[in-house]
Amino acid sequence: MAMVTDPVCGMQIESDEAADTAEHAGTTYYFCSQACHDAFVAAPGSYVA
Amino acid sequence: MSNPADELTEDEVAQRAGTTTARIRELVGLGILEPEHGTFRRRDVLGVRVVADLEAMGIGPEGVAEALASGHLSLDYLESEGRRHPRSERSLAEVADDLGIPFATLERMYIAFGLPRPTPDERVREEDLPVIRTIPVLFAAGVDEGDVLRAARVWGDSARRVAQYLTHYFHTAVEEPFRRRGLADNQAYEAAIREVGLRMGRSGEQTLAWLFRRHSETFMRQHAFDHAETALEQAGVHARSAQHPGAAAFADLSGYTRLTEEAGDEAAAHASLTLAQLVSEVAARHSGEVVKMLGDGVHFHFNDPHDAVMASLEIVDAVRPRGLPPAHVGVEAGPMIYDEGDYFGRTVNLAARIASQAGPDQVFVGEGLARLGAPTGVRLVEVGRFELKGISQPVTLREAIRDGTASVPDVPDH
Repeated sequence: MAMVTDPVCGMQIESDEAADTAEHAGTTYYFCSQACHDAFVAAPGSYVA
Repeated sequence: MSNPADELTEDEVAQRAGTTTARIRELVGLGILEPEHGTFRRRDVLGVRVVADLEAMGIGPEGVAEALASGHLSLDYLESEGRRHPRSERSLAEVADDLGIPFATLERMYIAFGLPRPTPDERVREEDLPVIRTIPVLFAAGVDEGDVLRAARVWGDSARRVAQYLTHYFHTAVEEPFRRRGLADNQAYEAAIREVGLRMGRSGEQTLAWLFRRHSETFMRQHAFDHAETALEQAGVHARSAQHPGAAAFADLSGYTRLTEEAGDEAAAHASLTLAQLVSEVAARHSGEVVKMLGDGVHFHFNDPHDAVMASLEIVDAVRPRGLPPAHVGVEAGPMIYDEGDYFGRTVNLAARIASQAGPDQVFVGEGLARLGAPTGVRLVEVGRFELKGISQPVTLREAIRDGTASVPDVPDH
């Protein structure tokens, strides 16, 4: 299982433990919670280049 | 933006959540899980675990389903509580063995940190490993277990206090404006997470690390120069200046119990918070340290006893304009033992007892401080010999009074 970092809150999580994911610019991002996911989807540019 | 890997089967949800497919079907039947065309989402795994946690608290899935259906409950903000933390493949007993330390030592470390008592066969959290690996380094250097545990307790107590308070702060200060806007309790919590919590990111950890670095700079610099001074003294090129003993000061608010009785707990808590802010400011101005807050009082430490007297006089002057009840302070200078972030010994005990003899707006000092003389601009006026609780001999106390200020002739009763 891969360790990934939630781009919104910065938390390190195992990819299988993510509450949700989102694709952006060809990359899959993993989120610790739905709230982080929703914040990212609303404005991905705020969290990743 | 959807990802095919996000679509899970009934079996996958059960397996990841550590339960059975029958349980998944039960939760679907109750409407707690709502698969689309038989497909579940990642968050359903977390939801299943949260429902299990609630059941362990005595809240059955039927009750959860009813609260969800009526809109009183949302699993959204609870889902992250269902997340499992990454664990290594090694058990704690195996890690202890790898490091050459007994499991019982590791167990005592966890307890000293204030963390749950671990079991030998549980897989150790990945995030614990870097800390655990430092323990043998200390033992190899000759540090004994008692000292390692002492440091662990200071870390644990300090971090726990911050974590516990910030959770309380989030509830009372951050969520409250959302509740005032008319949101239901769980809606206010979700809104606070969305609008504040997420935007703050990992600022809690960053603040803790930042403040540790800033405070360490001060203490480590002082420590390094102490060593340099010792080296220069041993080399015969420098004579260390005569060392004064430190001073302990206890400041209490007069009539705090009555305030609590008459104005209520909230007013008393507000007074306590105002006092905490005030004493931090005063301590900083006089090179002092707030050792601990005591509700209606504070225990200070000063390296220079004269700073202790000046800070005490400032507190007495400053409390009333802040809307606080009058303060009374006791100060004593002498040897103390520092350990685990606190100061101990007869000097500390005396300062606390002396404070209880002082009346409103008074600063009383003990014999140890009087021997060092008064700070510039201050007189020490003898007020009598006092029997202090737990102190074998009567002690002569003096009142610290700014020059040009009349002394208070009579010592009020307590």
